[in-house]
Amino acid sequence: MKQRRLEAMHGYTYILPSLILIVCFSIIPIFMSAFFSFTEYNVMNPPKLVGMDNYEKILQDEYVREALINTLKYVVITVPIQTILALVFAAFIAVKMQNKAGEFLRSVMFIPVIASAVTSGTIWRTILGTDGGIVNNILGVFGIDAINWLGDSRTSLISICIVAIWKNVGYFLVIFYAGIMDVPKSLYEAARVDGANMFQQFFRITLPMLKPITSLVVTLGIIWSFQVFDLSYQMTGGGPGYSSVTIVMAIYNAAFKNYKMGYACALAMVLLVIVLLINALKQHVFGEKEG
Amino acid sequence: MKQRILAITLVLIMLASMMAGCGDSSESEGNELTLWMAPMASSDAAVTDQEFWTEVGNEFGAAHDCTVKVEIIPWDSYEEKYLTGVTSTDGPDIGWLYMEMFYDYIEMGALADLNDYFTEEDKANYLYYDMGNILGGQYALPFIVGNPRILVANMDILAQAGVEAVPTNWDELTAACDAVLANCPGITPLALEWGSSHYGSLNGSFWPFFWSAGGEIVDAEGNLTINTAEGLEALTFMNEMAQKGYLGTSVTSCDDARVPFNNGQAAFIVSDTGNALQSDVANWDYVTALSGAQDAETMVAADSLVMFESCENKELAAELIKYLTSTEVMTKYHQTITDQPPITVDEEYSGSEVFADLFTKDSDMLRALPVFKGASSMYDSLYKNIQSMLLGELTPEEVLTKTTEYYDSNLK
Repeated sequence: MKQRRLEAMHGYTYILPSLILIVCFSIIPIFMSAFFSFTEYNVMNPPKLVGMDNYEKILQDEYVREALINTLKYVVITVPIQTILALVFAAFIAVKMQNKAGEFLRSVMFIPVIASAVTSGTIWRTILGTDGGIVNNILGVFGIDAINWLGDSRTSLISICIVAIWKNVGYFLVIFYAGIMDVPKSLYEAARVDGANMFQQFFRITLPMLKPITSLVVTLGIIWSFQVFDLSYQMTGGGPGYSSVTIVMAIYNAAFKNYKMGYACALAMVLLVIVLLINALKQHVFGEKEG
Repeated sequence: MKQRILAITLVLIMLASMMAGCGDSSESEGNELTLWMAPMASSDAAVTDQEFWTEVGNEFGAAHDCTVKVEIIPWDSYEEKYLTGVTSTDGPDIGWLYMEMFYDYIEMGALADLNDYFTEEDKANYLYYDMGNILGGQYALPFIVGNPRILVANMDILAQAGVEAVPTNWDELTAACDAVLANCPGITPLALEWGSSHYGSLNGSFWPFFWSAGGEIVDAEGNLTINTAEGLEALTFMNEMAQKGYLGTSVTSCDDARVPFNNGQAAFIVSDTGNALQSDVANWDYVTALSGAQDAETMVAADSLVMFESCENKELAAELIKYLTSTEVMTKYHQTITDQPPITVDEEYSGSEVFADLFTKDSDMLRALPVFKGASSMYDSLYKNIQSMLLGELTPEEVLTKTTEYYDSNLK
């Protein structure tokens, strides 16, 4: 008994630094935000309790409503596309490019992941420029009129989604690739003996075996997508009009432009609840069980 | 066992490092001042802002037996840096704020009243001292009162269009834009930055038109007053210019009007004086502002130095502010870093002769943005709504109504 307790103590000692960091910078701030969301607080002066006022204001805030709709659209567009693209690329590299070229391709596709959002946003602003942008120049070769990618409310959010997908695919590709490499080769050998073609192997073996990985990728994709801010802030500033404002941009503006930390915390709590609900829904879809 | 001891030792070292990182690094001695300045030097300047202010700080430190820590705050994260710095007691003793930031910092009690630290003689030497009297206190000392937004014209394009002089009022501008459209194919008559990601573009693209129509942003009580006949006139004029094609086909994606202007693809831009001087167009001219229904007026930057309440040695900080704004330092600053008009009586105008008249004869056309609650977000909301108007999604009336309703219900 004493030995087991000692071993447990030993284990806790190892996780202590990480635990302290998580408690200090994640757990405590969540509870503090929850508290501040019921206050009027400008950071300099003590918070003043205002009950549900901040949450009532959220319901009437047109900016927040637009931001929520845009963020949901962003999630719906980016998460499925980046997940499917990453899976397809990973499967292709794993099956067809087990060589130096495959390694090179994986590295190249990972570069956007490590590029800062500010840099990416600036570069893509130039690429998507209406007059003289690379994309419009290419479209012009095929006789297609220039598209006002970032300056039109119908295309601004889609443009940001394209950049986000370009930036995220490399990361999820690596995760999927690792997952595919972990699938026992004997399953494929047995399938081939039974006469399964490549597509049947992919849909009957690879995809089911990657279910936990896909769940992880979708979870991360949803969480990251709800946090979208930097690309939109850099590329369009939320415009034109309110066409690309996002929920985190609304939080940022409330906190750093209007100095309404209580209201910003209430928005953050709403975002937390939405992410938790969608995550629960996703777990239901993927049929995950606790423990 | 040895491995366990080693592992536990490493864990303890990590914990100690983390705790050390949580320490308060802001405990400065009374003879140490922190100075946060804004970047104004051009990217290819021989002397950077950091180098310039560090040298000035060292000179002051040597004369007053103190240390001046200088930090240049990038514009990209300006307001966040100030808010987090000031609230975490890790902020500056002396800072540089622009108009939109003042209301909240004064309301929060973060700024010190400078009045008692300046003698009548000191005050008399400042050209814009009274401009720093905001919300009942001398919370600011105007430091950069310049960079007015002016209408700059490519005279070669105007000549091609048959226009002889830069327009001086809205009617002349309309006529000139029509002439450019008719005679200069492929040229945008007036390039305005309605595609910028920041509402700061209003300073050149809207406020000069708004003020020249007779509009006022807020009244004496701080109520938003843009939803008036004057505001509507200015917006309607802007909308008509867009409808007639004066602003180009992709006005809501233009984030830097200097690009088409420098490439000879735009006849007019509204530019600040600093950028106008760096224009690649050889033959250009300007007017300070266009008159509309009312007299011509345009926006001038009025950034100021402030002292924070948290400053431990306010006397010393006030001395530093006086030194930073002294004729000696300002003359050097205007010659080395940024070409701006003088802020003191003693300093002679050392800038470009092109703008000498602007700062003397046209000075009554220049006005700064007002200080009021929620300014940043009101500007952001107005900017976004005007973008929607230019895309044909809102009418001018709806822009004014929506912005005012949003301000009154969420920001006031």
